Amino acid sequence: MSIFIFLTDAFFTCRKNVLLPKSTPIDGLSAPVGGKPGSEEQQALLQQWLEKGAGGLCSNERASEPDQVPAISAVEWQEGPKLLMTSLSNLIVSPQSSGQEEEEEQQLQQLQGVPAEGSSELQEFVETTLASSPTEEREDVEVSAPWAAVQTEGDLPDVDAPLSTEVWIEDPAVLAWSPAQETDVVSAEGVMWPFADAGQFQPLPLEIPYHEILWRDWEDLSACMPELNPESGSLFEFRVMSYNILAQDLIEQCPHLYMHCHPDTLNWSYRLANLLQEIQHWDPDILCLQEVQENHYWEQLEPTLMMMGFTCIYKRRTGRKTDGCAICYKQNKFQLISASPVEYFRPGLDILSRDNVGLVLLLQPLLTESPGNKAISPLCVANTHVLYSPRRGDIKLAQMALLLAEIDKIAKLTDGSYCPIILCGDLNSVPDSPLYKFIRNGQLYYHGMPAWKVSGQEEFCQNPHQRKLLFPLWPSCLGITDDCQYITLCQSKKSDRLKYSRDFLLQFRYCDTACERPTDLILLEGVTDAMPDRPADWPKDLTVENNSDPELFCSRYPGSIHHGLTLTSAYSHFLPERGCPEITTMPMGVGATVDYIFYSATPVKNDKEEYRRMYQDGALKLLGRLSLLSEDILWSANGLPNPFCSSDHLCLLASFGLEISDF
Amino acid sequence: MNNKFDATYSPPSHSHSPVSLKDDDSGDHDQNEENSTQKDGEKEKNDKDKPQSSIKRKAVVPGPAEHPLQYNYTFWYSRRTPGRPTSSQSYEQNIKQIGTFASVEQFWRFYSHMVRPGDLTGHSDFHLFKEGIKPMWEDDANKNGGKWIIRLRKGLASRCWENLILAMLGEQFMVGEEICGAVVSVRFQEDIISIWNKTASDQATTARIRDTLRRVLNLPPNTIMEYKTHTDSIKAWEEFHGLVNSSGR
Repeated sequence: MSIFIFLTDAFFTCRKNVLLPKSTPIDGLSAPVGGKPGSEEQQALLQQWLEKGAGGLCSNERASEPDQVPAISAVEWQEGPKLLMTSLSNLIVSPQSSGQEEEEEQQLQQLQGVPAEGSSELQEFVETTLASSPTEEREDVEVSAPWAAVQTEGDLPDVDAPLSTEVWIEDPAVLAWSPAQETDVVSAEGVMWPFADAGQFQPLPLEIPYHEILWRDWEDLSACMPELNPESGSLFEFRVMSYNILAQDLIEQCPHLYMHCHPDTLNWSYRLANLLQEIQHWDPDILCLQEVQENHYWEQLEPTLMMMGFTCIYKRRTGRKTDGCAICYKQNKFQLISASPVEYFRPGLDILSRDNVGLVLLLQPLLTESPGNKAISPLCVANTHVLYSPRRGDIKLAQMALLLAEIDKIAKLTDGSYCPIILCGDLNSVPDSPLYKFIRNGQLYYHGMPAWKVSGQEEFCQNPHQRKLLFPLWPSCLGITDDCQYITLCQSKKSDRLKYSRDFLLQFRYCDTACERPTDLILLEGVTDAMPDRPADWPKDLTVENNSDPELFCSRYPGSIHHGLTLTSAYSHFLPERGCPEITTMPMGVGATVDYIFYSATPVKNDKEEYRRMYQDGALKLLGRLSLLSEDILWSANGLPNPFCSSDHLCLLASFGLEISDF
Repeated sequence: MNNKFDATYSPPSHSHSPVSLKDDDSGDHDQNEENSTQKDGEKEKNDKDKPQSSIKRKAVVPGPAEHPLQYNYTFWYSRRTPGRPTSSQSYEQNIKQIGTFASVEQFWRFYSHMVRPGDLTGHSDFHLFKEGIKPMWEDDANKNGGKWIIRLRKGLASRCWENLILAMLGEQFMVGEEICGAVVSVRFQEDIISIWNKTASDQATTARIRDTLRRVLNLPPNTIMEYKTHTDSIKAWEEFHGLVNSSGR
């Protein structure tokens, strides 16, 4: 396995090299012009790539179908070289560029230098695609042009102003961390990604050897699993990726957050190609995506992923949010049993006033060989993107509780135990934060905790509010117990009793019968001499239905919440070799882990259990993972996104084995 | 009469003895016990009580188009007269049945004509028990039971009492037949509400009652709730009165 990964990775790297021709320095990182980019070997690889299509890239274990991912025809690559300059000139003289002509001119010269140095085929490709790009797309890109960012910089919204939109609150960074007054000319933008041509790649000027800096090792963990002998039965192996792919709308709404990026690297077409390539390279069997913009999903991601063998399920965020979560699974490995979207927005509840969502799937692994006498448990896969706002840890917890309740319902087997669970997502909380501990340890005492402490994003909480978490964290009418279960599920059986809610009973308070003194009521002064005082506006008709609120059966723990899923993280959040934390994103230049793959494991009894649970693998075994990077490495790559990594998050990838049992 | 109060105040007869004073539907009652609500003095209700009381009262049933309750309930009121109770006081002066109801509407009918607990004066209690269960430790339904006790600062009793009894009448405790009744005790510096259940040793039940109480009363998390078995209440009462007796001598 690891050798295979190594080989494919080497190929991947090599191809990246080809596809990222070198020229314009980015963000002051000096980038001496290297050797001829278009070496024969590279071109051969590129040609191979183009001919075979994306499907031929990395798989010798799967039957890839090149035809499903049509390659660009060679003809397109040969078309005329003039369009690039035309487009660039058009852009450069556009009115927004006023005041920065000088620098732009400089940039233009650099860009103009590209053809001399770069591979001519790639140039032509850019020109071709530029020529075919619809104006609509170009307008989009112009919004995100760097001068737009500079213009808005003067009036950055006040983060704490009540009118701040959620964009500011939720976006992974509140202030640009790179103050560089970037005035690069936008070039080569406006390329419409033809989704049918998955794997196609935008040439971009760059000189930094990103692929070397950002190299990620595959950690094979199956070796340290002694009990994995033949006797324990075979394993159903699959790989899970969790990836926040950065919705384009969010870039365009907050361009100042991405001023450290070369504008071309923010171009959706460029990013899409890169993201798809990355997914294809790592070839997950289950793909949990966050920040999937709805139009991009339907127009590009879903059709392309479908061609890659995935079945995709999408849940857009509520309200006016344009992005959402998707879970995609290889249809030759899994069959869908159920799919449950979870909306965290609940009208009227402040603690659930945000438009985040989750998605829970129940999948049946498909056994290829002798399914007759083999059995394998279904797998529950959940994906979510929790609220960003560092100040509202209370909301984050409630959102998690809703998701955990859905998982509890979906994953619960008839005997009350759970099938194996994988929980992926961007939780906007760091390791060992209260929210993280809650997921991992199954309980959290929250009463009195400052809301901003929940997620541990303290460095982003510039103005910690005094909001504290108080019991009850959410009202019973939500229908979720403090064990993060739906109330209807925690009640053992329906009662045939005559149950009345308080509100239902109260509406009879001044009914005619009640206002009439009972004839047999003895009169005791100061005790039974009260007179009912029916308010004038007392409604005679019943308005409250006796729904015999299921909520009313739920018991609440004062000040704490719990859940019964035993989950641990596939990642350790620490890089022992480098002696520093691993990170999945770096908003404002500060690295942090906020993305996770949690999976079901078996708690191990230990004396300190109450502080931190220990786990060992159960039916679901962690076989390996793609190592993450450290903050200093990402610094040297100029942060995220960069030309190599096209999101502001790194992807997480873990390999699992699920026990197959004999009948 | 004297017998009755002797029974009430003398520990031996109190705790064990079925001294039979079973005149009517009473138990005998005294409110001056230590801290909690009431105790009652007396004796077992034996099997004959039920027929007696049912003979005495005609059955209470829901009226037409009324909303029946799962159980019929009876309101009781008790008041300790100023100064130490003496044997000359009759039981009737200490606890009175106010009335029995079978429907939501009939409940409000009584409730609306009773003053709210916060407006009661002196050392007095309202009891609301299922019909047939006397608000006394020795009732068959109570003898193995206990109660959750919540002490309230002044000013909260009316609201908490209302919420408590609405939850009880509305069958919100979800503990089957376990609930016996509820009491609000107005005292000098604080008020106490309590809810009685049948089986003190059933921890699942008592835990569920506690959690429901927290919810329906919307109690702050640091509210202290105490569970007390009636057996312990009887012992404490005996000790208390033993001390009173010895020091009084």
